[in-house]
Amino acid sequence: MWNKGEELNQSETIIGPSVHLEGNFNSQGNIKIAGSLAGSLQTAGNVMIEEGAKVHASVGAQMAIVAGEVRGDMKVKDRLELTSTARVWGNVEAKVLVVAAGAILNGKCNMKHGLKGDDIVKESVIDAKDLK
Amino acid sequence: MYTYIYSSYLQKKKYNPLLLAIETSLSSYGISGDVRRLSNFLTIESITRDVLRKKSGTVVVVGDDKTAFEVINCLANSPIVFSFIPVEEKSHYGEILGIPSGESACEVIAARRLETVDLGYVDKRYFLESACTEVPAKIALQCKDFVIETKKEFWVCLTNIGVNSPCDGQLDAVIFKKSFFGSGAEIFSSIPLQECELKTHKTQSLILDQCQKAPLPAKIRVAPKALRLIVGKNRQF
Repeated sequence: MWNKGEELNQSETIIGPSVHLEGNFNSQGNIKIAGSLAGSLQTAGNVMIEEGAKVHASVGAQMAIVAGEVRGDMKVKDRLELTSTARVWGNVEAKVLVVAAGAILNGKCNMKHGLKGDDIVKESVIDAKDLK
Repeated sequence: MYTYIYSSYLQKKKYNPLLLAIETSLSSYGISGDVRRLSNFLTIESITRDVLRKKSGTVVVVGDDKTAFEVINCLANSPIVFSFIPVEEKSHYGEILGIPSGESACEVIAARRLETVDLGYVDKRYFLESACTEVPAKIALQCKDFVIETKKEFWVCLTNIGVNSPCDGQLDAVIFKKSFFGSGAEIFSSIPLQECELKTHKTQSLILDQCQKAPLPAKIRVAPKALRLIVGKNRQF
């Protein structure tokens, strides 16, 4: 499990409050956002969007925790966590999704867990047989 | 082959016992070499030009940070190894490189622990540690793919050593406020980058390694693996 405290200390990029970044930001490391960002945000590491932060961008990351506002699509390879203060307007894609009570998510949700569509149908058929 | 460059102020008699102790120690480690004393007639450029012509060797600055800064600028992007024997009790470069002042530095130089580090480059000058603004101001950092702006006034430092490794091919733009209640600084932002143009809404300069000033606005970039140097165990990276 991704330890929040550890992640904050290990952040290679910190965009603090009162700081605004505009454009395409690409990184290989962890990113913590407490200010604002517009454009696109792509990283091979993790993203932490703090309460009060405003991200008007498409986001791509390994894992992400959202406590602030995101307007844009989010593609997260592993785990996406929305805390109770999260506000997300956009489509989200993740392997694991955690949504706390109070979080707002307006958009389509696509869960990728390694199974293709046909496999899911087969699984459900097998389950139905078992019930008989 | 070692070349020792002595800061010009070391000509004062009060430094003679210290210099003698350093020279004796260097001799006992078997690393004594050419001694060049800076003066109005012998400049850093002329000394380093001779060393650079040989394309190998080690230049050791004996003296203060300002002399070290100028020698680093002459040796950047060359195969010559840089080192430093701080004479003053408090030396900024001494702390960064983990080299104690005076005679004790000779042991570190004899151990010859080598590192190849990046340098920062601004206004035709290189810096080893950081380029920082003099006063807080609203900042605009224009990078290749993005722009960073602040709504409030902050200090900004483009750091090579201090946040991330000086061997990573990047600088870090550290945007911070100085704490009123403590001696430390509260970091607000830290953004890795390779090159940028820095503008502030106040007229001011950038201070390079606490030694020299460069005018703003300025284009700043990293010079990857630009300096080979000898460091101590207690270096800050």
